[in-house]
This record gives sequence, C-alpha cells and structure tokens, in this order.
Amino acid sequence: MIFGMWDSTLFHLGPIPVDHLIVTEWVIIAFIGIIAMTATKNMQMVPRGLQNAFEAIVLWTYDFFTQLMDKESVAKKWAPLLTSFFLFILLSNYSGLIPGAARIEGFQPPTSNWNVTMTLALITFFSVHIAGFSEHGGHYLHHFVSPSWAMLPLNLVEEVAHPLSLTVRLFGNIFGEEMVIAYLLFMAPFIVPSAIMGLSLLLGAIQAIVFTILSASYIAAAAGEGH
Amino acid sequence: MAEKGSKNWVKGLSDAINLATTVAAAVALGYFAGKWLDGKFDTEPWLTVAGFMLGVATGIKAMWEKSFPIKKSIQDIKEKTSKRENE
Repeated sequence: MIFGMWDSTLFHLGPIPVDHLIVTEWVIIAFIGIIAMTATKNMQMVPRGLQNAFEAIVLWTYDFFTQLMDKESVAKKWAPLLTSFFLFILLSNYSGLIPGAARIEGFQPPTSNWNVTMTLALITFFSVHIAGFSEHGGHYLHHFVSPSWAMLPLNLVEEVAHPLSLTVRLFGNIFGEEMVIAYLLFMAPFIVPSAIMGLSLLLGAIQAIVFTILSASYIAAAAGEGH
Repeated sequence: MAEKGSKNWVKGLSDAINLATTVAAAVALGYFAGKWLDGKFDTEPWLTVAGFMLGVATGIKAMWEKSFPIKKSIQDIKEKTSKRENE
C-alpha cells in the first residue's frame, strides 16, 4: 500500500479497532503457517519435495545459530523463535512491494510502524532474560553488577538500549523506505520508483537478518558463560 | 577450517552490529531520558547532561568489553559461590 493512503482502521472486533497492519500481520502469519503445515504433513522417513527443502532449511538454521551462539543446546532451544522472527520480518518488509499492493488495502509493511517493531523487540528483551535465568538461575543477576556494583547504572542502560536499538533501527529503515517510495510515486509514477523498490528488496532482507542476528547475540550473551 | 572461518564471520558481523547499535542507542536513551526528567523536575539542563554522560559512559563500557573481554564468567561466579558455601 502507498504509505498513509488509507484511514488505518478497517473494522472493529468488539471494542478493539483492527487496522491494516494487523490484517497484514494475520495474512503473513497464515502464509507462514500454511506453508509449514503443508511441509510437515505426512512426514516420510525419506524426505521428498517441500519436506526435503524444509529439513535442509531447519538443519541450516540450527547450524547457523549454533555457530553464532556457541552452545548447541541454546541454539536448538531458540532457533525456532529466531527463525520465526526472520521470516515474519522479511515478509513484513516485502509486503509493501507486492505487485498491486498499492491498490489493496492492508498491505502497508507492519514493520513501518514502531508499535510492531517495539513488540518484536520486547519479545527479544524478555527472551534474553528468560534464557539467562533458565541457564544460570539466580546467578544470572550477578551480571548486572559485573565487574562491580558501580557498573549497575551502566549495565541497566545497556539492557534498555538493546530493545530500543532493535525498535528504532527496524522501524526507521522500513518507514523511511516507504516514505521515499511514496514520494517518488507521487513525483514520477513510472519506472523511477522501481529502482528504490529494487533496493528495498535488499534492505528488507538486511534488516531481517540484522534483527535476527542481534536477537541471537543478546540471547547467546545472556545464556552463555562470558559477560 | 572452513567452519571456523564462517563462525568468525558470523560472530564478527554480530559483534559489529551489536556494538554500533548499542553505543548509539545508549547515548540517545541517556540524552532523551535526561531531557524528559529535566522537563518533569524543572532542572534543565543538568539531568540532560547527566543522562547524556551516562549514555556515553555506557557506550564506552560496551566498547571496552568487546575490545578487552572480561575473563570472569557466570561459570566462575557459580564456582566461587559454591566454594564459599562449602567453606
């Protein structure tokens, strides 16, 4: 959808207003869910077709996150969440680039709204501390006063800075990109915006990778040994 | 060997992005939190300056920790605590 072209509320579910972003999120979640269910239906010992492709992808993600997070057990525990982050953010970033999306209500990239990016960042924030407590128990609290009690304010600022940076970077990049495309479409509707839309393909993938890698590194730092 | 190289690449990328964003976010967080508190308590500009300095210090600390990793780990703390409890 061209940024800001429609009134945001589509309909109401009781007292709750449902806007374009939520509808887009539902479509993306349904899309990922349907593909995953199709791939895992009638699983065979000797994989073929979509099951084969999915097994290769799952193995690759386990390997990638094990390299990133050092501990295989931690990587296997958190890889499903991190891979879901990647797929959801990637498809969200690309949802504004679907041909004809400018004419369909509900295809504004959800990641161009800071409420969505902050929600994703808060999931990471809580996952980090859940990972820390589940790996180290009460000892995890020591890292807030490491190397000494004097560092407590700095450690707290750092903990809050992590979700803030995740929120602002993803939102800023996708919002900015949408604004540029919208202005270009108004100024020169043909050919010119296609260059920036091509760049958006790259940018959308980079932002999804960066968010996932950062989330993985925060979780690894909390669950790992070194602080 | 190739595996080790790819590991370094992934970890290096993650550390670089992590450090860059943490430093920027910490300074911004300190500054804006200080500014908000100044508006609340009418102490301008002292809390803005203090918040900014706290953010800069956090950024320097993050850089320091990445450049010179602290050897003390949670595992060490656990061992020390259990040793103390045994004594």
